[in-house]
Amino acid sequence: MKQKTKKNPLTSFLLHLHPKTIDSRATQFNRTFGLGGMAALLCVLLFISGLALRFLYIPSIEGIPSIEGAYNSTQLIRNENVLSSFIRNIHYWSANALIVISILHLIRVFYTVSIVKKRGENWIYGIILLFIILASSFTGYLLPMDQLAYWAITITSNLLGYFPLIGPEISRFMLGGTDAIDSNTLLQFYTWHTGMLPLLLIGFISIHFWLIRKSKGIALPINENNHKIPTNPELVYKELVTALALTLSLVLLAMLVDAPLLSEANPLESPNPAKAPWYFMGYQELLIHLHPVFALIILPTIVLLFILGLPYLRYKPINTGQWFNSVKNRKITIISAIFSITLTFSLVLINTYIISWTELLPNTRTIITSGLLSFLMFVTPVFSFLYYLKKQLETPRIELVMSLFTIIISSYFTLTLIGCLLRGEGMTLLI
Amino acid sequence: MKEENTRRRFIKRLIIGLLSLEVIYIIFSLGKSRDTSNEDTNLFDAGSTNEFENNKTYPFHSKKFYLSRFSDGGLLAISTKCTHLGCTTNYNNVTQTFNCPCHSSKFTQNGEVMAPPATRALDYYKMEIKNNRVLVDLSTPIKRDSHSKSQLTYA
Ligand code: HEM
Ligand code: FES
Repeated sequence: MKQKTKKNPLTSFLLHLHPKTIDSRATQFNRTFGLGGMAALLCVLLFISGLALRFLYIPSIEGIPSIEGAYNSTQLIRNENVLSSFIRNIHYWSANALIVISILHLIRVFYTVSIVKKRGENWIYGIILLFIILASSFTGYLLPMDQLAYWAITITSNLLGYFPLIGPEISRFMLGGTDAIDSNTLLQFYTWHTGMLPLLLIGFISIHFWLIRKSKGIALPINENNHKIPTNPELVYKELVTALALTLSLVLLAMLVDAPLLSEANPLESPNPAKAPWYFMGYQELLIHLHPVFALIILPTIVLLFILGLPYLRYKPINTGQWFNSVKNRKITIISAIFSITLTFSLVLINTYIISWTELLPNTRTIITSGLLSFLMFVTPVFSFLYYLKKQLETPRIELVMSLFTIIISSYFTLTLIGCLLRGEGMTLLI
Repeated sequence: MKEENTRRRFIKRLIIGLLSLEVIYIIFSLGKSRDTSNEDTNLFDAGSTNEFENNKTYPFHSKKFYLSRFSDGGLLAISTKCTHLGCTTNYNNVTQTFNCPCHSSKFTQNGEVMAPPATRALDYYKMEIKNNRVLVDLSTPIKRDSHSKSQLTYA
């Protein structure tokens, strides 16, 4: 920028998200893969297409909101003209891409150990963002009120009912104060999806961005000598190219592939097999193998505490910004991933074909058999593995933590693949 | 100054406390059922007793139950709603089991859990037999952990 030429306030606002100069290494594509920026762009696309959809989606018949009205309206958006279905497709594909990209972003941030000090705070806000994104996706795919929507609401509200003491209240709250899925439920989801959650998303993204600047940009290893370059055009140019490429791919995808819409919600019959969208399939697979109390409360609490605690574990030799912290650690990560994938896959097979605790111990309570015992079948090998690792390598904490994180992520990944690809009619295993 | 601070702190806490009470109240009142329908019995005439053969299960999909008749002639109206997370079970005539398409729970012909993740037997409905008609009371499904003979109704 030379002298004070007339600047567009919007441009200057956007440029203010960055500092004036930036470390040259920060702009290398494989440092972040541009994932955070892509997520931000996807949010923008979602906001625009979502606002347009709000004009088109009228979930009522003769002014009275109803489930049928929601379905008819979605069908109309899908079939009436090219533009409306294009808007719906853009919204759908952006939402799916956002989930992929945010998970990859989370993985990138973790394995470059960018989660300590100020960035640790941002890790927490990132997790909150992930939950907002998942909640938005969930409330979003309920709005068409097709079979997918109806049975997803049914399953989730029943699942919440397993919370001790307040379960029934929570589940009724989710349904909008009624015991069945009706127009109250629909309005409740509509309000969350188009009001509350977007608002929270904007708020938390702002904090997220603010904290990136507070921690002086993205994490970089300290030992290399740094060299500052102007952000504009060095970084801005790369961002523009990435943004255009991503937008273009989404536009193409939206033109070629329609967002799905199943048949109208039918309370009398579940689809067979009744599968959740891909990003929840791992959890659905888990529900097949684990007692609801373990799948809803115990396991998620442990995993969440671990994930939220990650920044506070006081690692000793730590190379923030260095992929996998060290070369040795990279090997450990790969071994942990292989271990976890094999373990998860074998346990699914064993639980399906070989050992059924409920059959072996028919008079024991299911919370012990399909709950505790199944849970231990996973936890025991994992802790033996970690213990072995600790003995073998005299490794410091960071390596064990990375190993456990890898095990959790890979296990969920495996469950997702099994659920999506290997389950057929009646949700039976195809192998 | 100190005085000021404590008073401010007190007022702050008071406001926060009141707000949280309000939030808790709202959540609970939202959770309360707005359903005002009275719990009258809702008898459904499923047919005459001699229409149902022993050892067979008859679907009444639109009323969300299956009518099972066992080898001793006992009748049971079993809810189609899976006790795991509420999907609709399908009856398989060959294996004589209720199979759930959501997480593949299986139930025996009398509704007991055969394969997890379901944790308790399928609900059933009260039933009476009057003038040889099978009358199923659809108002409230009855929860049970397992099956017992006392749940059956005989013609
Ligand atoms: C709406 C979703 C999100 C958006 C728009 C977003 C955006 C960004 C951007 C633009 C960056 C700069 C570096 C980069 O591009 O990788 C960043 C960094 C970061 N993000 Fe996110 N993010 C999102 C979700 C998440 C999630 C789910 C997590 C993980 C729990 C997370 C944790 C972090 C952390 C710790 C950093 C700092 C990394 C560093 O300094 O190298 N974010 N985010
Ligand atoms: S709802 Fe029937 S098995 Fe989960």
